[in-house]
Amino acid sequence: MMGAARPAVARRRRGGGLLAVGVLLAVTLAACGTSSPNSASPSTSSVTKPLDVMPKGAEVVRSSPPPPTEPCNATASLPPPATMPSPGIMPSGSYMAQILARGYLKVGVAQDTYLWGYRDPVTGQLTGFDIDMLQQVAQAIFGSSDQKYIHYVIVPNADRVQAVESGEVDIVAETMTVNCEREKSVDFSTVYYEAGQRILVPTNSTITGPQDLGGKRVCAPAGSTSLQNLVATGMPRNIRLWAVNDTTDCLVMLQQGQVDAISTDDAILLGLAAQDPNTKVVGPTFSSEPYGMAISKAHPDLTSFVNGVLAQVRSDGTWTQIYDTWLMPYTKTAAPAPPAPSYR
Amino acid sequence: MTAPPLRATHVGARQGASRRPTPVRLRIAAVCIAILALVGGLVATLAATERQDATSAAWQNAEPLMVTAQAIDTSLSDADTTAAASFLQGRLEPADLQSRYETDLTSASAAVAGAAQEAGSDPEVAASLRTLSTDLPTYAGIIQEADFNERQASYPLAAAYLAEANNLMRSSILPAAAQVYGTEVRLLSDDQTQAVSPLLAILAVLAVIGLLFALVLAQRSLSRSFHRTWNVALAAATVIVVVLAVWATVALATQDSGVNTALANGSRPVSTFTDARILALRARADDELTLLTRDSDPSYQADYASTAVALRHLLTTSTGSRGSFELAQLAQAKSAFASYSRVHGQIRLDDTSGDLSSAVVLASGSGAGQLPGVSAHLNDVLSGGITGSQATFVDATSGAASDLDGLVWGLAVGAVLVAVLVLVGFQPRIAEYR
Repeated sequence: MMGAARPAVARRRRGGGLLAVGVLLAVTLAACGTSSPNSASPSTSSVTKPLDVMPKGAEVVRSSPPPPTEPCNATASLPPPATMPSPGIMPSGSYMAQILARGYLKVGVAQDTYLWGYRDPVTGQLTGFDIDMLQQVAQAIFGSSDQKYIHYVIVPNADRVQAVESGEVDIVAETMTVNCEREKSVDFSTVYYEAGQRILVPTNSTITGPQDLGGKRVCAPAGSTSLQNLVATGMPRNIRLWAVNDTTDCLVMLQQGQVDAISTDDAILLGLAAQDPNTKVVGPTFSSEPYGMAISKAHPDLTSFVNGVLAQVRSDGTWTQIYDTWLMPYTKTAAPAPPAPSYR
Repeated sequence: MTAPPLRATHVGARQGASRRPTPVRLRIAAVCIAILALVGGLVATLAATERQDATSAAWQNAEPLMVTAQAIDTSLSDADTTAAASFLQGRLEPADLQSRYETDLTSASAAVAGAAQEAGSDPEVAASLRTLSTDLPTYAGIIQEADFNERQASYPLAAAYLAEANNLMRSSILPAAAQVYGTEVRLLSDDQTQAVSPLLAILAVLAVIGLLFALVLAQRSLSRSFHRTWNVALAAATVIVVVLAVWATVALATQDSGVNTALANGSRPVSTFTDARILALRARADDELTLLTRDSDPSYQADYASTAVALRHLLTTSTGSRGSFELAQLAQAKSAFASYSRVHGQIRLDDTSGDLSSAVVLASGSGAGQLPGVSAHLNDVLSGGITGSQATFVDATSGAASDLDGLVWGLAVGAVLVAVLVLVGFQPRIAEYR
């Protein structure tokens, strides 16, 4: 490079100047002493510091058990309309008619939850179980599965309730657990998937269930109920909890040997295991996480309509087909019966 | 110094030839003036050499090191942006981006190795270079992991690794590179502005004044005492001293303006364009990473906002003394960034209104008016600014350094000549006593 060649020239030039001075010194003092400039040669001892690079935001946390919730029946949703409107013809005055007039359905999804909501690197399209469910809704409104009828907004987990409340999106379908706390702010559709918390470990791990987590480093998404469930009664006392911004960051940490296990919804763990064949999901389910679509309380007609779509999806085999597309390759078991709807 | 004997001869001269200075006094005067000439010459030569060395060091040592540091900094920023871009594009056209990323990382690593050999003993720079040499392989490893997962179509895991790599880049690697670059810029500017040490300058001026004074007095005294109108040797010595003094003054002034030109049109704009280029690359990485990982990290757009403010500030703040090339290049960069901002705005609009596909196409497409194109244009303008200003710097500084080539030797040889002429000039008068 240029930098390597020039210093030699510099030394010669420097020597020239000093030589002139030296000649003069010799004449004046009859003493000859030209000191040649020597560039200090750095004796660099390369000390290699041990590197422990982690995903941004990863930190050790303390968690508190889930707060006791007053009993509610959050999974009971609004009944579907007596007769479902035909696609493309929505009842006038309904929110679905507004969506039809607007020309597209606005949905909130994840783009990093493998098998549920993620961007396919080949097609660049968002795809997954949640996305397919939403497309069923769009199809029921517009009568077409064309992508132009559905606009995806990537909503961070923590903003899911707010995105629905503010009207930024019409529906959120994002591995979202129906619970009493959220039910105070938004309406939920009927349950379209029954998930529960389990544990993901490397295939050679000795951990076989929650009882083995004592003293282990366990990763879960920050601010999630998964963290709370890990310190609920009955769990080992000294689990070392790591919280990350994003569930996939847990897999990064597991692969980098920074945690011993990941614990969150089995639906999400399935997606992580699908991305790393050297991992396995172990132990029993130790929480109940029913997934529903979140819809604004201002649009009960939409909630009702979505429940109608889900009823159809359950009964006509579409639900099983979607399960077979996304989950069966990894669960290796035949599709269970779709979750039975519960209505208020 | 030489005043007492000369004053004696002066007084003697007034009272006639009978009070001529003794040969011993004449010898003492001659030797004193000759030594004064040699010492004065030595001091002046030292001063000129010192100035020349500082200038040479600026363009031959410090400037290449700064260029190396700048290359590390911009290559790494470019590598990070390119890595994100290739993930955003998916597997459609990774080849050119892949090779660009590899070139960036290879040249950065080579530059780090080169800088480690040349950088000398600054402990902070050495520490930063160590950070770079340990972090870079780690960074490359994480990107490789991301790449592997993308090939397995495990997009979310690939994006998570990419975000981790970006975090390492921004939290550790780029700050270290910026530290090296900042230190090199400071060292260069120190070299450029380093003046002759005041002691040497004062001594040189005093020596010249003393020498001229002594020569004039000696000639007056000799002409009165010995009734000779001209002492050719002493007159010649006087002329040489005057010529050398004028030469030195003019050469140093010229050189000073050369150094100022190098500063104003060279090294300062190089820093401006380099900083701007790094900011521009960072802004684009923010846009790409927003689309890639926004679900978990909304901080990229906050970073974009502050980066854009800093970049706009850098491109529009006028310090008043900018050269025409710099101004023209800055104007181009401003309009290029305006285009970039428009595309950025459209991407944000698409993304937030739920049209992610359009946003991704706009951010990764190769067409005119899409992000990679406008970003490349901005990058080219800023790179052009760096290259052009560097050329100006090297021209001006190398010119400034060679301005003093002749002077150094002229002062040395001239001083010896003056000393010899003084001894020669006194010799016939001393000989008259024999």
